[in-house]
Amino acid sequence: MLIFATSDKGGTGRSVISCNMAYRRALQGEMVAYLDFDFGSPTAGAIFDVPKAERGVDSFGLHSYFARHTEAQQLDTALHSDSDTLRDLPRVSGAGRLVLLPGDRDGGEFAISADMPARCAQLFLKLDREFDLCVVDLSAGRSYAVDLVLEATARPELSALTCRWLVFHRWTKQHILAAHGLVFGEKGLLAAGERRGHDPAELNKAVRYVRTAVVDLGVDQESVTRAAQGAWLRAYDQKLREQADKLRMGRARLAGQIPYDPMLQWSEQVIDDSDVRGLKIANQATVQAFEDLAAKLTDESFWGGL
Amino acid sequence: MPRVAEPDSPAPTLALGEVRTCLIQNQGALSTPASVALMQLIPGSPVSKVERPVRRVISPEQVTGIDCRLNIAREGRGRAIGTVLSHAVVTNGRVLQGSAHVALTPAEAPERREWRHYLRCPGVVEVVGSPNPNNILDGFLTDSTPARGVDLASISDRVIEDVQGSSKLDHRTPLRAGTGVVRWAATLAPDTVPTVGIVKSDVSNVHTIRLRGRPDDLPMLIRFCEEFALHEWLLTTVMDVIVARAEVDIERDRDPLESLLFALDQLAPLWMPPTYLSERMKVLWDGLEDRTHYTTLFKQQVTRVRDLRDQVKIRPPRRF
Repeated sequence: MLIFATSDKGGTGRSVISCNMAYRRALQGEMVAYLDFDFGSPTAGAIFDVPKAERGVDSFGLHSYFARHTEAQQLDTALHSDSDTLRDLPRVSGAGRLVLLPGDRDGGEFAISADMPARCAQLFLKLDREFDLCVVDLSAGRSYAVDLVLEATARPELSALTCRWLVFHRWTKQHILAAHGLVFGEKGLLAAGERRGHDPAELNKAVRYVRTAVVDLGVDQESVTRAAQGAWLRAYDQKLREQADKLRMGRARLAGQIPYDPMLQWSEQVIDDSDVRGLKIANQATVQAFEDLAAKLTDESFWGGL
Repeated sequence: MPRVAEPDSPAPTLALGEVRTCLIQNQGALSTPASVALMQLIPGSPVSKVERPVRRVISPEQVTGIDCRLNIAREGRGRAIGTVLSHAVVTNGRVLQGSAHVALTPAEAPERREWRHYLRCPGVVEVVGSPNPNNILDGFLTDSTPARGVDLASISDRVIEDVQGSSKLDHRTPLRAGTGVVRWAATLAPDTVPTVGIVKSDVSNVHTIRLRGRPDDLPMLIRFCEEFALHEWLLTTVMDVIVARAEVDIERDRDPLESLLFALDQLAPLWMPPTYLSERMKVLWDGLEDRTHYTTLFKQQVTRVRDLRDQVKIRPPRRF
């Protein structure tokens, strides 16, 4: 299965949430590949704490795979990461693997040449033979990477693959509108997909939303101290829900809701239960939200039932 | 059988190769006609097939011209000019192999000659310079990815990708399993009894093989490496993928029956050591079995798969 992670604006937490979601799936026993398709500024290496890929690798990253026809290197995070959480993954009974396909340090965006969609499809096919789940982290906004994967996934050889899209947005009025524009706008995913041979209605069925940095009134009681403040937040939250419902981004299409977690605002990293129970630097609710989002990826009643 | 060299050219002293093994990306196993159609990589060239004891369909040899530096261990320099042969093999319509190989001979001229000259001997590379043969072998076997020398990894990988991208396949993945890599190097000399040494690399799914044999053993050695690659991949896939994951699945109340049945129906019948092919092949394979007990190990794994299947059938997991 291929999961495309995208967002209209930067700073939504798309990459750090996707990385954690990938980690949860690997923990449950799956072979997971994480593809850094943010060609302009690869970040997954930093989140997975892989020193040689911190801002992309020197050579043989995904950018070179497309631009220079080299192989795309695969870095097993258990071997290449400095994070204890990732290094310990193979020692967890029944865990799978989490492999990073990094971007290149001096990548940059590129125009799509004629052979790239076929090359992209070939890569996806190859990874699908070996990995249960491939998370493709696309950059924020409309980019060449988005066009490339839309074109590749429209090709007949990928018709048997399950492709799903996650659109990440912060829980504000402007971000909801922006995410809506990214999908339904004139140059949005559905319109761009249609130009490349996708059925927009089918494509739309494969799109779900992830709300990020949501202030959880049940958990963040310390930051909401005054009654008036709490009442206002609840009322505004209700307004945002109504807005999302109207824009076809309501509960039925909600793949996950990630609470605001101060730790992740400062340090984008993979967190596990020891950060919650042992060190107590992250919130249990955050890990639970990653777990729930990871579970939703293969919840067929959720993806089928619209 | 691959052509080695023309009779008047000097007999090769070294041979190098790489074999990659994976599942065909198709829901069901392919029929013989479908396998033959898939292996028709070069229109008009004959596809060869053998029905028994296992169905083996082989594509025509493809020729790739190379002119590159050799990656040589320790000291010495050399340039390799000539052609690499590569082909694809489908076994029982289920397993795909990409196999690339080349025989090395010393060059007679210090410069590159016309391509016409090299095309007369497909699969032969002339080595300009006189590096020590052991350094050539070690350099090739330890070459990294991406290759610094003769890049048979890319060529065998391309064979796989070309076949897997074919519109004749439905591109459904029946079982997720890795691609096995076997890199081999052979020393060829007259009056040599065939021998083999196998090393497992630190990288998962990668093995390197050193072989010895006579120059006319080369087709047999290439076949040996393909058979080793197939059997090694079968054992790894059943043991490390199917059995290991089924045990976790049962522990976590997931249903592993589908992959267990896949192992029994589709993979177990492929185990057929190539000792029936020739006396010299038998010598080589028996030498391998003496040290690795591969067949015994595989039988144990198949028994384990049956046990797990029975266990799942008797006590179905709570959740499906």
